[in-house]
Amino acid sequence: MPGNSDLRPVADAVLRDIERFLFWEARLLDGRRFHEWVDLFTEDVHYWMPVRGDSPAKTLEAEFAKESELAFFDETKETLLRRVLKLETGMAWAEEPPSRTRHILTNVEAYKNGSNSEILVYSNFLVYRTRLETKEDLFIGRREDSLRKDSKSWKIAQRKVFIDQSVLFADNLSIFF
Amino acid sequence: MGAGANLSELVRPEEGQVSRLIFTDPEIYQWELERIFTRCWLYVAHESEIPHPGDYVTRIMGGDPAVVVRGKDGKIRVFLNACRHRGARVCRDDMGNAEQFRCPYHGWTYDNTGELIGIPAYKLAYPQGLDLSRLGLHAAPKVDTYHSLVFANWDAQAESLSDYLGGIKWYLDLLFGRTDSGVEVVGPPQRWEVETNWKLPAANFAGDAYHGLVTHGYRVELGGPPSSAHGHQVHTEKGHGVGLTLPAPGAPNEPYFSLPKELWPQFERHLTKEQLEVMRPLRNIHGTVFPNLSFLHPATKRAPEDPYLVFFTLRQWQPKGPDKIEIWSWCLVEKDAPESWKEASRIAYIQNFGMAGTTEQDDTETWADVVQTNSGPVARRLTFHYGMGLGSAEPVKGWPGPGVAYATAWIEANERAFYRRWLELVTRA
Repeated sequence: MPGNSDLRPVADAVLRDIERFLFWEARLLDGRRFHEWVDLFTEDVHYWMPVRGDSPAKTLEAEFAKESELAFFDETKETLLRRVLKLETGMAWAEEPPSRTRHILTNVEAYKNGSNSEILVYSNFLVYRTRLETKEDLFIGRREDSLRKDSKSWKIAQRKVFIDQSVLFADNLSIFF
Repeated sequence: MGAGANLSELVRPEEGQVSRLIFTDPEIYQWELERIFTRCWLYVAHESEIPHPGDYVTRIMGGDPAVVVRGKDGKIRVFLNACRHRGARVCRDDMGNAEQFRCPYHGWTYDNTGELIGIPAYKLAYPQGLDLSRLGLHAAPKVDTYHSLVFANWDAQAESLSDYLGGIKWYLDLLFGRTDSGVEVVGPPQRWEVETNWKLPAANFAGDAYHGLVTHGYRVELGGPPSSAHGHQVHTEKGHGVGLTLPAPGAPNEPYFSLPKELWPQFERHLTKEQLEVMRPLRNIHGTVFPNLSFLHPATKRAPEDPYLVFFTLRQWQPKGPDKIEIWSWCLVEKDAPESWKEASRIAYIQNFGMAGTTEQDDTETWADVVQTNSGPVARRLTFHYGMGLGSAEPVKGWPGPGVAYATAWIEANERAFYRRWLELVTRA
């Protein structure tokens, strides 16, 4: 595969299995089954969505904030769960009534990464959200996940969300990617 | 100005009544851009964002794009981000370091002190010559700093920054002037657009602690302490306001926001005895420097059994229209705090505030709703009620700091002061 000789594409059957997992995850999110969604993450997960800026072409590596800098999300499984618990308090006004979302995932690629037992998965997302009568948001970007297989199913051990906006066009991020 | 002819009738802070029209009317918005945003001191950067000569950030000053640059001479200058020739942006990215800015349109080149130093094919293009010294980048005539907060003013006749800030400086000292090294910015700011009017969040941060009870009521549902009504609200005649929230009587609290103990001797060196006494028992400081710079510094707990931890956010509500703002949200930490503390504070900020912050999500929801709901012909004839404490609360006698202080965190005095100042500026020709 171009760019990184340590990455070897997984077998087709594994790729299909991973896609099924990601589509299932998206269906949980769009179906507002948030506890089941949080269960898809490992106990030690790091879920991160860095701030993105406008950098010149020659210093494009500075485009996304670094891990010690500012992010929109910088979560553990515990903090993701807390966000879900908030939604159940009846006072999560940004989600009362709840947003309607549709997570559309494409461009799924899956690689074995050297001797690492976790699978590196890339995907593109288009998350459409409407709220109330006419509020409409579109979030587009890519994700970089590290998937770990426990005895029977995939779990997300790491998720990086790279959004394709520098200034974001929504009142808030009360939904998940 | 049609509606503006009777602005004093529409906005009556002394009666606690503010017309809903001023939050949606496009004409009033244009008057604000002119009479407030070209005349007030506006926050543009933190010194820690542009520490070295050549460092720049691109920012917004009211209705205009600006470049904030530390020149080769070490001096910070602020320029309209537009070429003097025919107006293209001379700086097209967020931040960096440059000796020169070159316009992509015809190549006019400016030094990082703003001087026009080069024009391509000059002798051919301008055989008659040009006075380059008169064609430097359009500079904000006034730039000044208070505790590393850089402000600029488009108005050459404006009073000094020190006079403009006035009594609010005493309170800014509690946040920005309490240690040897001060605070630093963590990472680039979050930026996002919200469909609301800039005055709603600005006035909210100045004086609305009351909304914490219900807007952020989820916190109690998740085991956190209820929003406290105890403390003080203070405003100054320039429209600036702070809220100094205390925990409920009897509720446990660590001194100095549970900031690392190794910093406490520095507080004692930098702050007066009165400032220390005010700061020591606080749970939260929130406030706004008129017109659109706000700050929030709350001690929070993740879970009831966790220790208190403070996070610190600075934000600017950039006006983009009567019903649109771009929020710029910075995370600040004490430069001299231990790295592990800074990391925990950064995480606490991300959890609670910012675009995905569990607390802030509900604020933007409300502010957007208020503007959308009150844009119609009937709603805009009505007023918003800013009457809390009017006619009942008396200012504290012998309050140790400047400004007018009330002995409660729940009062709308700061918001009345904000609109009083607004009215004064918008009606001033």
